[in-house]
Amino acid sequence: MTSVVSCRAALAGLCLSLVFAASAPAEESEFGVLVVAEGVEETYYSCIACHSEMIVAQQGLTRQAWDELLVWMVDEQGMPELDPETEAIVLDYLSAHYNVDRPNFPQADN
Amino acid sequence: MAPRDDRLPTLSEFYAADPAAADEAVFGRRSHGDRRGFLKGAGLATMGAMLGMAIPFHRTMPQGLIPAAFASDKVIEGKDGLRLLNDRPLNAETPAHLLDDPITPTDRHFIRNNGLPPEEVDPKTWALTVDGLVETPLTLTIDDLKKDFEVVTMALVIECGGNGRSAFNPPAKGNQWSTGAVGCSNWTGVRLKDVLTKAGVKDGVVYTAHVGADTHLSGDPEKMPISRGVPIEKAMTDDVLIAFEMNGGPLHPMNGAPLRLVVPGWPGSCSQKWLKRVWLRDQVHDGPKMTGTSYRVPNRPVAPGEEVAKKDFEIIERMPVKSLITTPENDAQVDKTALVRGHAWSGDRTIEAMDISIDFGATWIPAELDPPVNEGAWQNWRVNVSFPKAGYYEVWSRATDSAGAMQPFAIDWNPKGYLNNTMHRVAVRVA
Repeated sequence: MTSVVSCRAALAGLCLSLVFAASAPAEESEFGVLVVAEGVEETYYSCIACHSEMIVAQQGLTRQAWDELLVWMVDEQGMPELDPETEAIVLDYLSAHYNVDRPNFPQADN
Repeated sequence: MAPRDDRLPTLSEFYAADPAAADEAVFGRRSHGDRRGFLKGAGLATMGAMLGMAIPFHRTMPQGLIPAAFASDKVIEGKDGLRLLNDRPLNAETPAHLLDDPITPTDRHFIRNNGLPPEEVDPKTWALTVDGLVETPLTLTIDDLKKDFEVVTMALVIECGGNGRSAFNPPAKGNQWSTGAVGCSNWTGVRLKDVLTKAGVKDGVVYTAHVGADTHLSGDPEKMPISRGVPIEKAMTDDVLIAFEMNGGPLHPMNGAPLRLVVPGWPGSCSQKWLKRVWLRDQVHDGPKMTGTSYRVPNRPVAPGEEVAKKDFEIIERMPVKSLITTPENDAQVDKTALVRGHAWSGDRTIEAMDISIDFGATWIPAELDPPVNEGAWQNWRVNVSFPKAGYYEVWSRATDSAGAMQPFAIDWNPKGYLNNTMHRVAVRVA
């Protein structure tokens, strides 16, 4: 969790890192909480047209399950179909970083 | 910027020094060349999530303008300490130790949104339609509800069907709730039963269908984010409310203001928020998230990870027996004698016994258990525990309900990650 946590602290007026961020911007990923790796840009912008990337980062799915989820979004949830090249990039990214072993699962603090 | 003294700068001071830099640091916002609007969606989404709704005129919103709603300096206006799972749609749960109150305060009640909340929520003009298989269709304002029907206040449990999903292995899709998608607030409203009786329930009604005013994430006005219902027999019970007050005040905007259903003990999705219409049908309702595998579990026990055919899924009705330890907080340091307390509930049933263990389930200690304040409320319990010596312990809680059902240790795995009612476990360190 990056942006949301720092926002929370910022709004409480208690966050030193904010002061640092002001003098040295660009610490915050422009891809929100998603792991920065090959394919993150395509994935991020494909997702956030409708929903936050925060729901993406919580999942742990096989490539096949990610594929089925995209099909469901297109068939039933009004998502514009991705071109095959982008779709492959997105599925590669998601199944590498958000698979069932949950290498990047955002931990609960309780 | 240079703070005037050694205290940390406030949000306003931070903005005063360099509005553009502050905008980017706080919200991830970058503006168009005209210094208005949001160049990319991320900053706008963050700001919208923190405000709790969309900003229709975002394109003209000046760079560096702090939304006036942030005067209170809270992440989700009117909520305290909730863990944000998702900011669009907004989903946030309450850490267990913040659910310690016997009745859940409004600022500690979890949020589960499927779509985007409506922007027009004026309680003076809000109207509820009751139609479908009724003798007389009704359109009622909130004032009509208060005037024409008995107004009641009840403490009622709302729990998300997916509460506890984060513990599923293999993981299940959806918001990864830990234990905090549950609350028991005081809800004031009128009985759904009374309103349906006035409209006149026709023969052949099987199910209710609930429609809210929230909008679909895709922006498609033809799509509803969620529309679920309950069997008519459930709708005609005494503890299903059409609620217009929460804990004696207005409903929180993210908890369905100005009007919602409260169907205690059933998946929270039955308790339609921003309620606009109750439609009586002669078939099981087939709105969004009623069909497929939504809010459904297999009709038999399945192995973790097993593929289950769609036809073998059944709609979830009552939620299972469950308990929560709200004191002490997980990983707290406690004395050799410590008070342990929390809540227990079971959909459409009462809790008959509440036990805790401090030795990994080898032996159990009965807790003092209060009766529910009314049907549909959770039950509060407490027990003083003596730990034999310093060290690491886990406190486990286990409720048993009026049908003899007891919380299990292990998850009854299902593909969509519903109904995790395993014992609650809290770590304590005894000094």
